[in-house]
Amino acid sequence: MISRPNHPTHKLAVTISLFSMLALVWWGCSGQQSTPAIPSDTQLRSSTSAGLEAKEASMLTQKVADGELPPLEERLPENPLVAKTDYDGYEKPGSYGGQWHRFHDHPELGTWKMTAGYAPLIRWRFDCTGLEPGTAEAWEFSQDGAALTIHLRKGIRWSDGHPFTSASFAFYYDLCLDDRHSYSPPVWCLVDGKPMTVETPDEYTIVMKFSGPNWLVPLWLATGFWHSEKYNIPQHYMVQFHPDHSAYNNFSEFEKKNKNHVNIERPTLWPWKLVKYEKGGFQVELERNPYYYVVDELGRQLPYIDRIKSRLVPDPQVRVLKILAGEIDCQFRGMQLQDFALYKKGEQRGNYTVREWESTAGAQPAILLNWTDPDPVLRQLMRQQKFRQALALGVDREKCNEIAWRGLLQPQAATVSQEGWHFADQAGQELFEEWKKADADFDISRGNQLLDELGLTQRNKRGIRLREDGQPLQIVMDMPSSNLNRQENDIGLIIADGWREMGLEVILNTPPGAELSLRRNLGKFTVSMHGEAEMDLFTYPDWVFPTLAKYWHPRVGKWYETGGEEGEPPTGPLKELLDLYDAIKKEKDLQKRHQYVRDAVQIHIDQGPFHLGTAARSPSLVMVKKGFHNVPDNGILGPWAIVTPATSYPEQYFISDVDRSSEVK
Amino acid sequence: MSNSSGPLARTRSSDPDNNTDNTGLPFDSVVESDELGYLSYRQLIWKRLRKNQMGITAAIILLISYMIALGANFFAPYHYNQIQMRYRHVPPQKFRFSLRHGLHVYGLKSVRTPETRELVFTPDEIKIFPVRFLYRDNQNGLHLLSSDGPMFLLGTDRMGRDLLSRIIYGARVSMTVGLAGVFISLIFGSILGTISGYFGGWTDTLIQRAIEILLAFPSIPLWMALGAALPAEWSSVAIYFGITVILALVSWGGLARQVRGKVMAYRELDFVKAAEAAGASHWHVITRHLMPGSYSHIIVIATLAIPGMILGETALSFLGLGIRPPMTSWGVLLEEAQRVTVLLHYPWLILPAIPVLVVVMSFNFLGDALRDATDPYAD
Amino acid sequence: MTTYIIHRILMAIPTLIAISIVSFIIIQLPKGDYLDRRIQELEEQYGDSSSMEMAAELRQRYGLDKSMPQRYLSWITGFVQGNFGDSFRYEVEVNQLIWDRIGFTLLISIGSLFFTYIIAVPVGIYSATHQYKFSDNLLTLLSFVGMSIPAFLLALTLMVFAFELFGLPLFGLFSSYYEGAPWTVGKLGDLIQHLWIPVIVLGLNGTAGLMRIMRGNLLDVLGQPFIQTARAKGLKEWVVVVKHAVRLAINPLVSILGMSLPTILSGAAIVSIVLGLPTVGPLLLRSLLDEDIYLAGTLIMLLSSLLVIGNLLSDIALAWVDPRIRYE
Repeated sequence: MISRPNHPTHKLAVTISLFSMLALVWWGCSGQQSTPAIPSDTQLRSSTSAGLEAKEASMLTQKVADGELPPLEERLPENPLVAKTDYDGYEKPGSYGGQWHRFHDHPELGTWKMTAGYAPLIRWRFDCTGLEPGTAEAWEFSQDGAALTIHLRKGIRWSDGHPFTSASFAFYYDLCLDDRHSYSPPVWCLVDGKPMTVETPDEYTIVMKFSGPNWLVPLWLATGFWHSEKYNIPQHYMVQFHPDHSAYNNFSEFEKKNKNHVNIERPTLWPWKLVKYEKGGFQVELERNPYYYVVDELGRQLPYIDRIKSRLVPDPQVRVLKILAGEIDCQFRGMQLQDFALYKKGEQRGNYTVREWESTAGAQPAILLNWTDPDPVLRQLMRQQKFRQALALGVDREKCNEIAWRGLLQPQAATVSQEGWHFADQAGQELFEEWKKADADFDISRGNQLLDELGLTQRNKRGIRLREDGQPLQIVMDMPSSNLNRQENDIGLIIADGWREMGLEVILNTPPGAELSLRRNLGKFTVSMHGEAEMDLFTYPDWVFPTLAKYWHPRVGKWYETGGEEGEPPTGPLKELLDLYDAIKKEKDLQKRHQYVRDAVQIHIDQGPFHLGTAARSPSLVMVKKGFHNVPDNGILGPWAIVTPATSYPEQYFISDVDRSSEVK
Repeated sequence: MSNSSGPLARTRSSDPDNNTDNTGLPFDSVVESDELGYLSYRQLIWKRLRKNQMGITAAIILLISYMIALGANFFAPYHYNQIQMRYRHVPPQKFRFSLRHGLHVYGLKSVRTPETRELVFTPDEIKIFPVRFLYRDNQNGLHLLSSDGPMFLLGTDRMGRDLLSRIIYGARVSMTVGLAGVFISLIFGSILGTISGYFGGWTDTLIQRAIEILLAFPSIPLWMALGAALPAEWSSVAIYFGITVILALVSWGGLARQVRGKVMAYRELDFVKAAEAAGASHWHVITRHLMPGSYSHIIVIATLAIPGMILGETALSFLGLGIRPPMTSWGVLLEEAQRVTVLLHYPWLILPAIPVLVVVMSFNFLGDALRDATDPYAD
Repeated sequence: MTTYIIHRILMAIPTLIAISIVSFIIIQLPKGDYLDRRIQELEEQYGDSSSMEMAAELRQRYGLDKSMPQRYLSWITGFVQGNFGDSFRYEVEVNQLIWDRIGFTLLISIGSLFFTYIIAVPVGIYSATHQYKFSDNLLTLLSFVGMSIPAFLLALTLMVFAFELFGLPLFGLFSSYYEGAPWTVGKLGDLIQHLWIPVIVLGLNGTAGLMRIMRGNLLDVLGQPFIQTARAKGLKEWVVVVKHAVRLAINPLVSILGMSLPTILSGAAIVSIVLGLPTVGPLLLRSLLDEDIYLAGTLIMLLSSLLVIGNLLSDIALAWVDPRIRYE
């Protein structure tokens, strides 16, 4: 736009642009202005600080008065589930109202589901000592353990008011048996390869019949959110998309609509139901479920908090800043240990506290040694205990701890979680201590000695030991790239140094994300890595028992999970371990089952190591804003199977007005 | 067409549009000596260059930097991957001097703050470690500076690795990637540009189209895509070469265009026609007549392109798509500093930005000076 | 003039097609496909068989079992109709993800161009009119520094220090309150507050360079005879400079606008990645790493198209200004 300089419009244009620039500069520099008043929050909150007389949130009382909702007695089941309060950090029954701001790191809202997406028939207890009733009020096995009867609470309703009955489970199982749908019968219902049958004699009873004793089923029903997510299907809503009952000729629309983290119209049993899911999961909002079946000790309906606002923040540094700025009310996952000091120092300014829960991890990470290594020579070597012991002696665990974890963890052998219920008595703990120390030393000379004893005394010019076929003894270690997982990458470097000192040639391999796990699960690796943490080995056996194609036993696990069709049959200690696991599945008595687990651990101690430890037991950071109450002071936050913090009934967390009066949002 | 002799051509310190003196011959064809009181083109350039103080300073800085980079083993007090468990995140230490001990450093005491579990380091004045010069270690490597105690002049990173050493070793990668990339770019670009300009017609159109397509890609996304495509199981060295090629691939287009412009201008000149009439082969014409005229031009472009390459490598490594550990480069070092915790608690880890800045600036100054020196319109 | 424009537009089309093919290929160079990565993620999270079930079903749904040319064809035919395929990761049509972001990308880019010119031109003028004085040397030095700093380094640093020193949580483009809220004047103000850091960071390199060029051009023009005439006529100095010299010196800067677009867009990509802004950059990086092919391909296509259009516009502007070019 080269116009003449004297032309009046030219001058006008210049003047206007100058003024607008000045205006923008002034506006921009005026810093944090007061944002407009009355966020919807205050409205929600204003009427609720009344007190404990109200048995439901005022926004619901309003709707009852308007005739939109039935009264409370009709919305709750006859025997509502009472939230447990027996943990440190519980203060008192709370007031209704408030908004919970948090972030998630993936559009699938996995971390949210671990917090409040848990509505199973049977629940894990928060202290991980066992199970407690969920939407079911009782369950019992038949004498021989081949039939499980579950009694649902009467009167539970979906978030749209429709009754929750056994028809839901039946509908789910029909889908499992239906070839056209992607669900298949869940692995836990199979006994000797045969799936269960499901009967629903009445609205509140489910009977599962197996072809043999299947004592672990209640655990499976409680584990994770992913099983309950599937079997809690609102059949009254989904049926309109089912090809047999509608105009659709396949299940693709059905599957789309079945996503409870995306589809806001799908009824749910969660404490908060989805009301907004912005395309791509960038902004998610949930609001209280008026038909939620859980109450507090005083019989008041939960949840206390009205709304959840969660934002997708994939970038870790922005997450850090948001927490420091006090924009987050309570967050369970998504904070890294490296930033601990920063979070601590920012507590005053951001108005929050950092709590340290336990990850109970037994190895961060565990170094996996492939029992079924594709290379025949390495395979032979791997099966020799001395070789694995030598490898274990080459790991400088103290250095790993100092470098990767800033000295905050504990060097030890690879184990599962010490808090696991299998080790809950003194004998168990003693066994566990022995396990932690088994082959956990760092001793290069002893390692060298063991390798010499194996006959690997020949070396080439560079000092690398030669195998019996004359090739240099090369170990390829798979690990994630530094971006993906800095700690594991650092640890890989440290271990490689140690093994090199013992005359092994170590090649560091950093395949891109997906390939790393593919290689691991297909068994195409020699050494790989994975974090290890598990509380319950019954439903998640694979660190100790080779039952799935994973970790240190991919091909044997494949054999077990496909019923012998693929993979390699187990031999030696692996066969012993699988026999023990089979015994567990058939064993009725809980204590005996725990004993089988301990026997298996003993095999690991005596004939192992099968996977090596580095450092363990990091704290898991939890961040709680001032004025956000009832969050447990500590707990276990690591393994996903035990679904923490959902098992602590987050619906009873509440926000108190007084402390948050200065909050604008 | 509009871009080849683009708008920059109209600015003062732009590429000279012709390199001929008033006899119509390219300068290089004049071979004279000082005795006749007639300076050749090259000597003229050198004379003008010498007057430009910024340029000379820049050249000296670059020379020193390359020397240090190539002699990394000598100049760096530690190895770049030397992990020292006890000295993680040590802030920069000072040299101390006293008549009694000479140049020395203090040892370090560390204390763990209970609340934040941070290790805090303070100098331990009881432990004195003299600094040795030109020290030969037990593997026979020669080091400029050495000490038995902790001598971390720029502090250490999260693994206790000395930052100064890492910067020096990082220079090896960062500075040579630029050179190598530009070199490849130059060769590729000049050849294609010359062919394009000389032969014209279909060859020209084809090559021009290809260049246009290349230039139409936004460079960073293209780098990202190519960087993400590098197989991660390649060794660090292979990835280094891969990065170089990627950087070069994306930038040869601009150079080719410039060269083409020049060649097309020259092609019409009498002396070329004369050579052709005399029966000279294409090859002869190209190499003996056309290309020499472009040399100075090419050198200027190359010098100015190097900073772009260095910044490109830095950007790629920054995104995690470039050089990967255990190899180190300035981009890798800066990526390691990209954490809020680091920025607020261990700010010395951002120091690698300074060498990047200095080197890039020096190349810019040098390129500017070269451009002025080769500009026939200057006095 | 019109023939020139039409000619240029026609030339642009095959270029775009070629770009689409090349980008599609490059995106799929890394081994494995999106699903492999997704399986890995699911596995890390749930660690059991549920991930495998989901994978098989997803593979079929996304057509990842078809060959590359087939995928390309189905994508490109959809492309022309405005259907850019689905994003795997976000499970939503690419369409719904990109428009906001392209809008913000353009906003940041144009904002930074604006900022660049607003600062560089007056500073360049000042520098030229005070040649060789201390202020000029200082500005020259600063400009070299500005041209050489890798701007994206500054991004996070600026954000962190804005937070530490001023307590301004300027992450992203909106504060939590306004996010997802309907557009109001308040929201606009919020956006502008947040724009400062990206605009400054992005514009830094360009400002410095442009300032040098402005200075150089102006010095050239000021050395010309007609300026002497103007002074001789008795015109005030600032009139001479602003009305006569600057007008002439500024011409080339206009044409540089078009050429700056690619740098700005690329720079915007990397700065947004560092700052986590809801623009094209982070989305592109994520989709490249995930091999979310339709999303990545669309984004690259769109960025390239923006470039081609930008160049086109700048060429047209140039041709309008300089008639000689039209007849080449």
